[in-house]
Amino acid sequence: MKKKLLSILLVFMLVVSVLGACGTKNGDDTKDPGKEATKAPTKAPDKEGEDVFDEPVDELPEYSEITVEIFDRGTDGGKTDPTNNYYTDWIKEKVLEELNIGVTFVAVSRWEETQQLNNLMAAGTAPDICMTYSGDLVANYRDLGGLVELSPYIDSYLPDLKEFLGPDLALPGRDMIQRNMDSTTGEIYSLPARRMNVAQVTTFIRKDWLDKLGLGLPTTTQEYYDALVAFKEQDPGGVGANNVVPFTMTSDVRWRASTILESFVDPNLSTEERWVNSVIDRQYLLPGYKEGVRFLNKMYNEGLIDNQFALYKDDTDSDNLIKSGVVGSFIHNWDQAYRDTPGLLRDLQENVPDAEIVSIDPFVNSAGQTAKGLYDAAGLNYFIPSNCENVDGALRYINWLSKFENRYYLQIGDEGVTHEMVDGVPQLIPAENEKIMNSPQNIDYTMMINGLDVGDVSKNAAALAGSYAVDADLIVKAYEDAMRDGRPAIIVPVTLSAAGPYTQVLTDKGNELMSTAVTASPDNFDKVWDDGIADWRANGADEIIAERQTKYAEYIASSAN
Amino acid sequence: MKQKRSGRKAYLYIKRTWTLYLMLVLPVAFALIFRYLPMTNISMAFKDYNMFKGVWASPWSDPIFKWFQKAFQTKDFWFALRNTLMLNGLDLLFGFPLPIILALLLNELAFKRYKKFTQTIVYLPHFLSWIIISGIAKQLLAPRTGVVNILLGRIDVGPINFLTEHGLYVATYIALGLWKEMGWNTIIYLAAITGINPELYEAAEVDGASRFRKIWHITLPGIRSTIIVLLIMNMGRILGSEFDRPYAMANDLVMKVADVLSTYVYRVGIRGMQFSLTSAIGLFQSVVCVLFLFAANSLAKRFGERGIW
Repeated sequence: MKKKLLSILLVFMLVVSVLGACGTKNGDDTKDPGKEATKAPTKAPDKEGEDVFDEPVDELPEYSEITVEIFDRGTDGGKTDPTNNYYTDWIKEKVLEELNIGVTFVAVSRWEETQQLNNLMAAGTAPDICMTYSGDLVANYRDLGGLVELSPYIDSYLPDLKEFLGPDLALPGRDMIQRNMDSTTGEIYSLPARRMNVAQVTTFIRKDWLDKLGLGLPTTTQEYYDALVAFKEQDPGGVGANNVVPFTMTSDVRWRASTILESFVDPNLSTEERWVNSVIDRQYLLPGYKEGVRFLNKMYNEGLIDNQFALYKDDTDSDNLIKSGVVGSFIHNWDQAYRDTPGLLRDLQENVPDAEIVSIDPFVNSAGQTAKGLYDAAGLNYFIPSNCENVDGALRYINWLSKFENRYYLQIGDEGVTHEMVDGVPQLIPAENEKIMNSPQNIDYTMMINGLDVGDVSKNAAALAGSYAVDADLIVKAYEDAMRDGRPAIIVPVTLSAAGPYTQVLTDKGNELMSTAVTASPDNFDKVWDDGIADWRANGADEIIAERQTKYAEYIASSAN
Repeated sequence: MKQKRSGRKAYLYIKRTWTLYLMLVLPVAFALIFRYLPMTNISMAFKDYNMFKGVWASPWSDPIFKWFQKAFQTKDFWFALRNTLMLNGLDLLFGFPLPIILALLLNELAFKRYKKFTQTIVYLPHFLSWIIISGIAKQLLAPRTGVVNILLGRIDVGPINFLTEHGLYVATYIALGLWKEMGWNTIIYLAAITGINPELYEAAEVDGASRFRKIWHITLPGIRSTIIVLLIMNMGRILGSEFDRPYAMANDLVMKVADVLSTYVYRVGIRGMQFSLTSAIGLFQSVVCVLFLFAANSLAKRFGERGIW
C-alpha cells in the first residue's frame, strides 16, 4: 500500500512540475511590453558618469554581467571557438578588472545572422549588445519597439566612441555617432562602425595568361572582352579548351559583375535619381544598367561566362575554379584574391606555381571614367535590445572597447606572434597557435572599427599594404583601382520605414531576374528583362521608391529652410 | 435494475484499473502541453504579430483574414501552390506504385542472400540528407563539369541542362526522389507480404497457378489494406511539402517551377519577418491536407476497405 501511495505521489509531482513549467512559459508571453520599453540603466545618465571612466580603480560600480553577440564564421583551418579563445579571455579579464563587468559572448552564425537574431529577439534572450550589417533589420526592430533609445547616453556614456567615430564626412555638421539618428525626433537606436577603408570592388585577371598571349593589361571594356575571347580560344593556361572559364561568377550576379554593370550606368544621373531608384541597394532601375546586363548576356552566349554560375549559391564553387587554375578573370572585394581566407592566389600558386592575379580597371563609362561603388564610411550597426537588463554595463563596455589601447591590441595582437613591427608600422603575420584570430584583425570583437587603425593616418595605409601575405605592390594596385573614380555612398539623413517585408522578396526576385536575363537567348533578352523588372516593381519596389521620393523632397525642403 | 448493475460494473472497473488511468495522465498531459497548447499560437495567423510583444499581446488584424487575403492576392503564392501540387502529384504518381512493384519483385527472388543484399542497397539512399544528394546531383549533372554531361559529350550529345531547364529540372527532382525513397518504402510492403498465409501459395501451386497468377490473386490482395492505408496517408501529404528537398535543389533559373509552399513560406515569411503571413499559409496548408485525408479515408471506406479510423 505504501508503495502504491508513493508511486501516486510521484506521478502527481511529475504532472504538477510539467504543468508548472508550462505556466511560466505562458507568463512570459503575456508579459507587459510596456515594461520592457521603459527599462533604463540603473543609474540615471548624467555628467557624473564620465568620472567613472577616468578613475576606474577607486569607484568601480557594483559587479554586473553583460552578454555580447559574436559572429561565428564557421571558418575551418585551425580557427578557435569564437566565444572562448585567447582574445575573449583577454577581453573578459581586462573588463572585469577595469569595469567590474563579467562578459559572456554569444555566438551567432555569420551566415544566418538575421534568422538567428530574429529568434533571439523574439524570445527576449538576445545578447545585451547585438550587431548586424543589415540596416533594414535594425529599422524593423526599431519600428516594433524592440530597441533601447540611446541618444541620452551618447555624451555621458560614450565619449571615447564619439571621439573615435569623429565627424560624419557624408553629412557635414553632424557627428558620425549620430549617423542613425532620426532627424525629426533626435532618437538614436543603433550606433555605426567606422570603416577605415572604403574601397569596395575591383576586377582581377590572370596576368600570366595575358603575358603568354602577348597582351597588356586591358584598359577598355573592348580590350577586356578581347582578352577573354583570347583566353577561351587559345587556352594560354593549357587546361584544355573545354575547361577554360574566361570569367567566373556566382548566382549573385549583381555583385560578381558589378564593375562591368556599373560602367554602363548613365554617369550624369542626379543624386536624387540615383538615391531614389536604388531600391535595397540594387541599381536595376538606373538608366543604362540593362545594357550592362545585355553585355553579360552576350558574354554568356559566347561562352565567356561559366555556364554553371546559376548553380553556385555561394563563392565556394567559383573559388575552387579559380584555385584550380582554369579561371581567367573575376570581380570581387578589392582585396579578395589576396585574403588569407579563402586564399585564392595562395592556393592557385600551389597548383600553378607561376600564376599571377592582378587587379585591373578597364570598364570606362560614357564620361570616360571607371566608376564603381565605394563603401559608406559607416559600416556595421550595433544596438542594445530592449530586453537588456544592464544597459549601463553594455554602454560602458562599448566605450571601453572604443579606447585606442584596447581595440588596437585586439586588432594587431602580440608582436612576433600576429604582427611584426616594420619601420614603426605593424605588419600582420599569420599566427598558428592559440593566438590565431577568428576573424581578420578580430573585426568581430572590435565592432566599432572595420579596417586597421594604428593611430596615425599616414601609417594606416602602410599598415594596410603590409597586412597581407603577398607583395605590397599588388595590394596598392588593387586599392588604387578600387578607389579610382569611386562613387561615394549617397547618404540622405531621413528615416525610412523598414523595407523588411519586401527586402527578402526583392533580393530573391532580383537574383532570379539577373540569372534569367544573363542566360536568356539574345533575341529573348528584352522580354525576359522587362518582364522581370515589371515583376520586381510590382512586388514592392514601386512602393519603396514612392516613399524615398517623398522623403527626399521633404529633406530638400527642410534643409532649404 | 439493469442500469444499476451496469453502474456498479463501471465502478468496479474503475476501482480495479484507476492506477492505470492515472499513469495515462502523463502521456495525455504531454500531448496536451507539447502538441495542443503550442497550436493555440495559430492565432498568430489572425493577428498583427509583433515579435517583441509575443503572440498574445499582439493586436488582432483588421480585417481578421487580412493575412489570408494578402497571401491569396500574391502571384507567387499561387505559383508555389501550383508547384506544390504538381511536384507532390508527380511524386505520388511515380513514387507510390514503384515501391509496390519493387517489393513484389524482391519477394519473388529465390536466392535469399541476394534478396537481402539488394534490399539493403536500395534502401541505403534513404539515409542520405537532401543537402548531400543535391550536392551529388550538382557534381553529376552540371552542364560543364558534371560527369554525366562529360560522358554525353564523348558521344556528341548535350550538354543537357538537367538542373536549370524547367522540364528537365522537374524530371530530375522526381527521379532523385524515387532513387532516394523507393527502397525504403518497400519495407512495409515486404513486411505485409510475410504476413500472408503460405498455405494459400501451396494451394495455388497444387492448382497449377503460374507465378504471375499467384502474385495477382494472392500477394496483391494480401497487401491491399496496407496499400490503401499508405495511399490515404500519402494523400494527406499532397499539399504538405518537405523543405530540404526543394530548397537544396532549386536555383534561380528554375524558381518558376521549383518554389513550393514550404520554401515560399521560408523566404517570404521567415526571412522576410512576416510571421503572421507564414502562419496563415501554414494553416491553409494544414487544413487542405486534413480535408484530403478525410476525403481519401471516406473514399477507402466506400470501396469496402477499413480506412485508418
